[in-house]
Amino acid sequence: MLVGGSTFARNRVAYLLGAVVLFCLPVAGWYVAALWEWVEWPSGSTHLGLVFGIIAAAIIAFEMLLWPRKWFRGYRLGRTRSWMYWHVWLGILSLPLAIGHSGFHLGGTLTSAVMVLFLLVILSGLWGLSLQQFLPRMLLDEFPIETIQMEIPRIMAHHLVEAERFIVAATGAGDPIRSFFREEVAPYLLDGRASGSPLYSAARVETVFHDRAIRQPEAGPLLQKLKAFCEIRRQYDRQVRIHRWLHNWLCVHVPLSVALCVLLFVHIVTALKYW
Amino acid sequence: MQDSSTNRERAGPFRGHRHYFHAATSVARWRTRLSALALVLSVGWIASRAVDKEERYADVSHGPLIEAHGTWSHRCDVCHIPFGEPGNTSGGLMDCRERWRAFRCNSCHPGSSGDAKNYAPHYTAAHWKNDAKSRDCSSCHHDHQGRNFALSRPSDSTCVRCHRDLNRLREKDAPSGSFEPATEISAFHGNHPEFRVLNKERPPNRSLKFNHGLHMAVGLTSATGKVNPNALFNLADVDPKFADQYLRFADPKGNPASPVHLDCSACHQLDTGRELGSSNHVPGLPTELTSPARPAGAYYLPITFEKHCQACHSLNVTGWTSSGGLKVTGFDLPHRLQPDEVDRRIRGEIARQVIKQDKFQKVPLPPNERLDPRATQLPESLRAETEKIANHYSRLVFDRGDGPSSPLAIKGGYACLKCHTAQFDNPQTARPKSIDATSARTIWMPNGRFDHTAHRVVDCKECHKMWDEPGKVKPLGMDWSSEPANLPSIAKCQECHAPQSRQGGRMSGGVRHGCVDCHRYHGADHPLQGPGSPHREPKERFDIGTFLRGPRPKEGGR
Repeated sequence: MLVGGSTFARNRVAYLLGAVVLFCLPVAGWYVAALWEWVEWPSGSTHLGLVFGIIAAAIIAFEMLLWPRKWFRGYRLGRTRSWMYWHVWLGILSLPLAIGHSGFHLGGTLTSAVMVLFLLVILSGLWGLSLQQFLPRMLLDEFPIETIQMEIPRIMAHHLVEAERFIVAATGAGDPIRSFFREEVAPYLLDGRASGSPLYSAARVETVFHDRAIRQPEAGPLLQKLKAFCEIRRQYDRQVRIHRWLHNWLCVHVPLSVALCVLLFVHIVTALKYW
Repeated sequence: MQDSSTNRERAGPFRGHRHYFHAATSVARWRTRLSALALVLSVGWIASRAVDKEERYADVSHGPLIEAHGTWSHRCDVCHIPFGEPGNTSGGLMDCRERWRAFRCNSCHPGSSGDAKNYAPHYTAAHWKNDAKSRDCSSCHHDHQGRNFALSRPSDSTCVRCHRDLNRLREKDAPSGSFEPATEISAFHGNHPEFRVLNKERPPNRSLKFNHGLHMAVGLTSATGKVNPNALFNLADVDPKFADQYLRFADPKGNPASPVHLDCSACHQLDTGRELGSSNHVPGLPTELTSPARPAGAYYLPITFEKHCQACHSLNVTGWTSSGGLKVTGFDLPHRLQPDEVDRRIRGEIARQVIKQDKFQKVPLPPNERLDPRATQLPESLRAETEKIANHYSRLVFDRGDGPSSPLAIKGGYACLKCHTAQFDNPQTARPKSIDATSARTIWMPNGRFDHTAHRVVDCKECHKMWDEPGKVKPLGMDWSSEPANLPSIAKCQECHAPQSRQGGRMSGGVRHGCVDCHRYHGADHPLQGPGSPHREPKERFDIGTFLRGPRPKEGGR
């Protein structure tokens, strides 16, 4: 487990959020101490603030290495699981370090942008990590035929061929089931919900196939077969939706990380090199 | 025929498409597109700023400058010395702070010519001589904290950083220990020492015998008895020239028999900041005496004899006829003279009056010289008579107050020594050698700023309450030593200027109590060290265009 050792997803998410709070407690204490003037107000340019900034920047650089690491997954660059483990925990550690480096000020436009991007990246990462505690278990429990998302069209095309064979074998020319298959079932099997077919609804499938079975009782076994293909398609549709939830946070996390890296680089250059 | 394995069956759909995992999902495609967009936007933003020379550093600035510096918000190098230029050559990675703190504040705010960073009296060259950066402006003044930030009001922590343990810092400058130990101060309401002026070992010497209790009593007489020969002091006793000034302290209708009852405002008047020549002007007095440089309304004007005493304590010498028949009419003595000069004035005035009296000028002339003009000469007897009169007046003017009162005395009392202390060559002689200068200071706590205007709604005696205390009112003819300075202790200030708290069931404190609420540095309150001091003249003046782009003295650096 990347987060906690509990088998319950809710406990793992609680563990994750608790860890974030725990990591940030020292910096919160520092803020209170500075507010009550027990200690000098922190600044990014003091030795301590600078060390915090350097460590946080190094962590961010490491975090970004996960991207090329995925490009070179064929090389022996350490276990992916270890990479993710350190990606998560160092990422959380960078939060208090960055806040300490900021001196509890957003500063000017550039530093504000860097800090806002950083917080959004952290938040999106935590959101994604939390989703990944729930959804894989759901996929495992509820989708026994789960497959790789990009392979679904190919699998469904395979199932479509299989269904056509059944239809050809079990019906003759002019059988209404053939037209039903061609007009309603086949598009749904190929394109799923995107086809606009009413068969995406389980209740609707029951109704449609029940009506067909009443009208053609002799075609009952064939209809059962077609219904099973529709159920497979519906499962894959749901799997795609869950996969999107599982990964769509990356559409925030990664682009913002890219922008963060660019602005962070400028911040480092202007703060260290120019002056 | 052998049945195909389950695995083979499951692998069937993927046959011929083994790189399925390389195909991107819609989420992955969007992720890539958005990443590219983020890259373009961020790089584009930075590039667009970098192209514009004027706006290049606008976004790098870590906060808005105060309004006074606002015109240079986008030009870091107006205030910061860029790395590598003279004055900023700290090179190490960890010297980042030092590089940022290399300023050219002295372009506009120069210190003295010998030490551009010397903003005395705080942080003189003697202090921090081994650490020039520590006495840089930025040690206390932190800009980039908003346009309305009070840059001239450092936080207490800034002051306490050093004043909490000033001795440790001084040891650095004087390892031999040859420095005056400083008091540890961490808060005004905490361990701030008592005001220096109230030091019991060295109380301030006022050199003036004055009894507030007597002067604020009804009719200017003590309540303990009618020992005052002039009691009660009525409006009729006031010099007619000053009657209007004191009308409000007696019967406003002007009843001459109404007793005068003074209050604080009779003498203590706030500096209105107006130019002299109007109400504050006293002919013949130096301007600095009546209106020294200070914020209008903050302090009370100095008490001057001519404005606040003369109405009752006239320096008019009454007339007298000597036993020899010489008649002297009353005359005024000027104030602010030392005894020798007073004596000369008395003798001169008496001689002038005696000479004018004809009977002493018509001296019988010797025979046979009747056609010659009459000689003007004083006979021995006249000289002696004049001397006798002068001595008499001199004795009265310099009467120490321990002799019998005389109708010939200066009106209102015993003349010079009634109020002034003096030095004597011979304690037995009447005439003193010199009159002690009075400490005519209106600012008793020069190291702390105080604004009487801000406090005028509070009754004066809340802080200056000596005359309210039993036994403090000194009856006339008793103790004539100087009244102690009637200044409040720090505890009185702390009743309001402390964090809000509840003491004895009532709320106290809550009014601001920061270091800079009282203390001003860089001599801003000092007439010779304030912002207008010639020592702070900039080395170079600029036209408006140059000023707006950022003044840079030719010599550069600091």
